[in-house]
Amino acid sequence: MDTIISLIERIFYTKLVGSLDLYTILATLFKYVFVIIVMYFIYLIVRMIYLDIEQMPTDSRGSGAYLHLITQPSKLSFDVQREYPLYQVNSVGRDASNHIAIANPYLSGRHATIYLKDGSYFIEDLGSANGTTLNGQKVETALPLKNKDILSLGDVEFLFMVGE
Amino acid sequence: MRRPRLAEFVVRSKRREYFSNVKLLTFMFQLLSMGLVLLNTRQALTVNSLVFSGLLIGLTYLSNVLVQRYTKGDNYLIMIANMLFSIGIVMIYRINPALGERQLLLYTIGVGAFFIAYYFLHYTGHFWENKTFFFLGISIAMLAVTLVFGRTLGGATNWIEVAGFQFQPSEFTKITFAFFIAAFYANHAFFKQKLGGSLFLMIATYILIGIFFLQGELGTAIVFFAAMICAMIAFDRSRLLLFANIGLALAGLFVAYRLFGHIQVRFEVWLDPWADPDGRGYQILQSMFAVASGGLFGRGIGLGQPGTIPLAHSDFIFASIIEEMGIFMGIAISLLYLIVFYRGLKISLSQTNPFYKVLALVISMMFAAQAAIVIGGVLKLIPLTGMVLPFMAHGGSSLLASFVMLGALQYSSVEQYPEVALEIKE
Repeated sequence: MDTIISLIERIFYTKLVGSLDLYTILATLFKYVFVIIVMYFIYLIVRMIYLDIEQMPTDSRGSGAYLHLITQPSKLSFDVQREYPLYQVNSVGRDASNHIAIANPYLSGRHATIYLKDGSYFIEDLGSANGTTLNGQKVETALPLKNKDILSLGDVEFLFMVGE
Repeated sequence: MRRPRLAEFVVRSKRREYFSNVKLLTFMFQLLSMGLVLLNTRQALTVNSLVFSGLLIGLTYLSNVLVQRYTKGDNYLIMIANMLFSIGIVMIYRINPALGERQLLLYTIGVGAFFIAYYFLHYTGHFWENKTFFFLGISIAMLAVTLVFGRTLGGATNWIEVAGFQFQPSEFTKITFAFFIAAFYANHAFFKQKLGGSLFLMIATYILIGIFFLQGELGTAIVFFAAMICAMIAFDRSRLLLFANIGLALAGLFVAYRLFGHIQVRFEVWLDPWADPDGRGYQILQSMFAVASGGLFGRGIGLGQPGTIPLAHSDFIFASIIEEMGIFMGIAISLLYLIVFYRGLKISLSQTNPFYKVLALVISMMFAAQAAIVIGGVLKLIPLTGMVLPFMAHGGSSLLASFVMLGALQYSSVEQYPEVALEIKE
């Protein structure tokens, strides 16, 4: 340890110019770096908060179909939205790249897809490990969805709502 | 109109990118500053100090990741707390390596307490929501015990020793007091009918504040008062009570000023520290010298003399940081506390459960009031109160209580649904 200390002493505390040593130069440079780091940290946090606000779900009722959560969210250990608005094509799965991404361990990475065809929604299972059920019935082929159908994916249950 | 689908994807990937950048920034700050500090405290350099640096970086990173993975709700709170803690511990270690090591141990316990608080509330569910008298009783009991068995340190009788461990019950009273206000407003209708509504809250709070004045703990009294007033503004329609409260507080302060010598001393030192520059005014004068010598960017880590301020590692850590890292860092720290406060308000607004709505507001107000009082005191804008900055200053009780409160705030940010989750209009 002593050799290391004396090495540090020699490298960082030898006077280079006048009373200036390497440590002083480093500390003086880094003080700007620290302020920049922390300010940039704040900038990123504010930026994320801004994204959250921008992304706040607008009321989807009345404009289209959506999935409404039935399962009590307090029983689940992962985040699930209360409502998922449905679009032309919606993939459901555990992977974050899905349109409806739910970190449920019972879901497959790409679990199912819900899509709009000729004015009505269909559900199709994408060969998931634990399957998808529609009103208690296992989804084998693409099935059409009616208003207030109960969909269960993994251990999360949704109600399919058409909207007004 | 609905936003196009694509935007959500972009936003999600962007957010993930920002998250990893935030973790990277915390890591970089710790790496660079600890590197400098280790070079600076080279005489005390042992294998332990390298282990310490590694643990510091690892533990904060781990807590950032774990909180994101295992808790629901707000993700920003723990990251901000970790950043504040990093700035603080670097300074503490630079002033006194032994205290820094102790602080890291306390931090580990604190993060544990964060999770315990979160999961405790998660599993005990709604059990606590109407235990108003229980929380009030505990708060008063803790303070009464301190008043009887407490030890005097630094002008305030607020230390207690149990089995060799010293701690400050007043820090933990903050937790029970926050829960008390939350339970009170969650059952506001009951209190309005039976016990005089907000008058009950006022009397209870003034009893606690009275005990604090007896102990000489000015800061916590102000924090409690701020929390109560804030809850009243938000959840009580009566404006008359509000003004009555402010009037009462001013009158109370005047009476206390006349009655208690230690409060007079604090005001005298604040008004004219030069009257006794080597005695009572020494601390605040050293603090002001430190702030002044720091300038905009500070003198650089290891190039100032923060050790000359008494309690530079706890009560006056803000001055030490400004001396070596500059006013800009001071502004950044204030901003970080501001964001915590903003998140608290946001959580409170979006929470539907009345208990956690009030709890979030009170806890965030307490953090904000604490930060404002300490920063104001160190800069001599207001009299010194003997509080410490949450998450930054050295001190086990404060750090632990802050993390428990942060855990409760985190749980408050989880969207709670009413018992009947499904309401479908036929």
